[in-house]
Amino acid sequence: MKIRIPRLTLLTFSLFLVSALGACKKEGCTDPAALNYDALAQRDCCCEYASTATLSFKVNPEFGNSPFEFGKTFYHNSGTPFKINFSAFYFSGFVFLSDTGEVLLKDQYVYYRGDSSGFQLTDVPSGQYTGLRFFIGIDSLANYSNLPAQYEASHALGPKTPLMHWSWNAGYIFLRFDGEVDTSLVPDDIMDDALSFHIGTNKYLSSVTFNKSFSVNENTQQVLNLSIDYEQFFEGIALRNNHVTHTSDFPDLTNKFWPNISKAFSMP
Amino acid sequence: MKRSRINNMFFMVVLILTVSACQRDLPVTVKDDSLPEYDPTPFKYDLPAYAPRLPRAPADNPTTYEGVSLGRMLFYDKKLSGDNTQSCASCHNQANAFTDSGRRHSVGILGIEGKRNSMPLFNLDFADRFFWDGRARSLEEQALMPIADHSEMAENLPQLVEELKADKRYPAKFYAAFGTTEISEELIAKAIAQFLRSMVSFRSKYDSVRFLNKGFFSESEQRGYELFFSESGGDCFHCHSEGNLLFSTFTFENNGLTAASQIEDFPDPGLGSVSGLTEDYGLFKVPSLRNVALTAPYMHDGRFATLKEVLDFYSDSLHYSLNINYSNLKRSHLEVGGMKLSEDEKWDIIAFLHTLTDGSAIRDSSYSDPFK
Repeated sequence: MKIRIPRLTLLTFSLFLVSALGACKKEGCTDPAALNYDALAQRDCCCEYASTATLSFKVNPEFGNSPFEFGKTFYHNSGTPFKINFSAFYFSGFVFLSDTGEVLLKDQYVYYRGDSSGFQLTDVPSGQYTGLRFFIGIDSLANYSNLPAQYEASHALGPKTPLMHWSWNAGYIFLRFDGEVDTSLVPDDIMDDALSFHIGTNKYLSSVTFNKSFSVNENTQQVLNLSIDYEQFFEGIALRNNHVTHTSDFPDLTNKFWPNISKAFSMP
Repeated sequence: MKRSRINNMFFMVVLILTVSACQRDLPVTVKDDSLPEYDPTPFKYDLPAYAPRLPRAPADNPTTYEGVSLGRMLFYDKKLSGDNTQSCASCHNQANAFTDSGRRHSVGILGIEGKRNSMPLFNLDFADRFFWDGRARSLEEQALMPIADHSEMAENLPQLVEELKADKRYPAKFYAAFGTTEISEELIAKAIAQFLRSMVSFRSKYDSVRFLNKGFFSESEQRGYELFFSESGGDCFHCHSEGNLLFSTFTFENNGLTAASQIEDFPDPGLGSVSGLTEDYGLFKVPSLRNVALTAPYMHDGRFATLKEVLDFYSDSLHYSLNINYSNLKRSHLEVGGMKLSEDEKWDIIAFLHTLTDGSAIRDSSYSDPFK
């Protein structure tokens, strides 16, 4: 047998219920990413977001004062001739500094092929900034969470050729340099051995900070210049005898190379 | 009373709308010429969530169920060889991850023995060059090569088109897949490419342990896994990378099989025979290690009968050779002839390699002989 509840009672009750629930909940913006985020708000309404823009970086790869090129012979300051035939780096954890605080650009990773002329960041909040900080490498969370296959092929962290990922436990290669080196005692410009610097793991995550004022807004296309000096990467390294490290296999060489990384980047 | 009538009416309207929405999925308007409307269904891969995203098929050959079904029939049809005694499957046996049942070199219909080892056929769409020497740039381009090859199926392609036209089953299958009953070499290639593209294998023990938290590696498998990824152990991963879940970079490498100080020293020039470039001599495609325990013998020429022989080679018998990529294969290893693994370490790596076997793929009935 069915129990019939008088319709009017039901209607009244539901109306009451709806209005009662509504009354308990504070209305406001519940999205922490919004400008008017209200931590006490329970019912979402009326979020306002900062406008965002694309920020372009014009990269200038150099060797000392001359333009850097893959496959070209350069002379290390110890006199050793060498070539870089391929290089690539990851950038992540972009933070925009301003007088009022810091803005972290979440989930943006840049795969930069070492001879290319630039890259872009998207959805950068508009604002007046006093500086910029970022990692050369990949933050520890992303470094060990997924394998490249689990990203879209076009994603910066997706599979790359040559390899930019070692394995589940070693994570990504943050910086990769492959080339050749002339190991003769009297250099003859004939390359005798492979050069291979593959740097990664959390311990060797580098961070660079640049004090530079710039603004980001929807209407004007902002371009920042970034210089990468390949001479700096190998500063103070006896390249003739030390030209291979895959980070953990030759820790002494890795430790020597690591401080050079942040020095190689500058923002003129 | 009045309200409930409105409610009823409202319900009816919703019902009608829902039913009519369903009807949209129903086929099929039949055209005058008795052929059903050409309306192929896009192929959906049955892939686990952790699997890599498939690169898309070329725009002019999207993968469809109809195309895959036709390709499968062609793959298993002996009509595709010159004397109708061999199909693709004759040298690509599903039980062996589509390799030639342990044979070092396959023998074609004319009794000619090839010089390279039959390759496994899973997860092909992730590579962009095919064959050990990379001579095909797409699966479509690859598909007809063994059929026409004198030492393999030795078929005359125009004649094959005629044979298929004469077979009652094929024109309708071609129509369903491509919207035309006009059979051509191009469409044969496209259909086979679609079938090959549909064959995926990502359900091995490795996947279960690694991504589904189901089961564990044995102690030996775990040691092997660690050795595989250790530069001071097997150092396998520089070429057989885990990052794309395929255990191959799909690059072309010289792994030190042949001592060569000049290009003439390579008995088989590999990629060099395709590109003609000195620096490509002695390079061969890095094969995926998925299902590797099923694909003996090993290397481009099938020189090693077992995985143990492969591990012995990498441990102690590497040769200095032209065109070795020292970023992947270290000079310090070459200097001493290899990775110098103990017998136990070799068996541990072999145990790990067995976890890459996908029993479901080699039994999957959607890849099997449709004529049986």
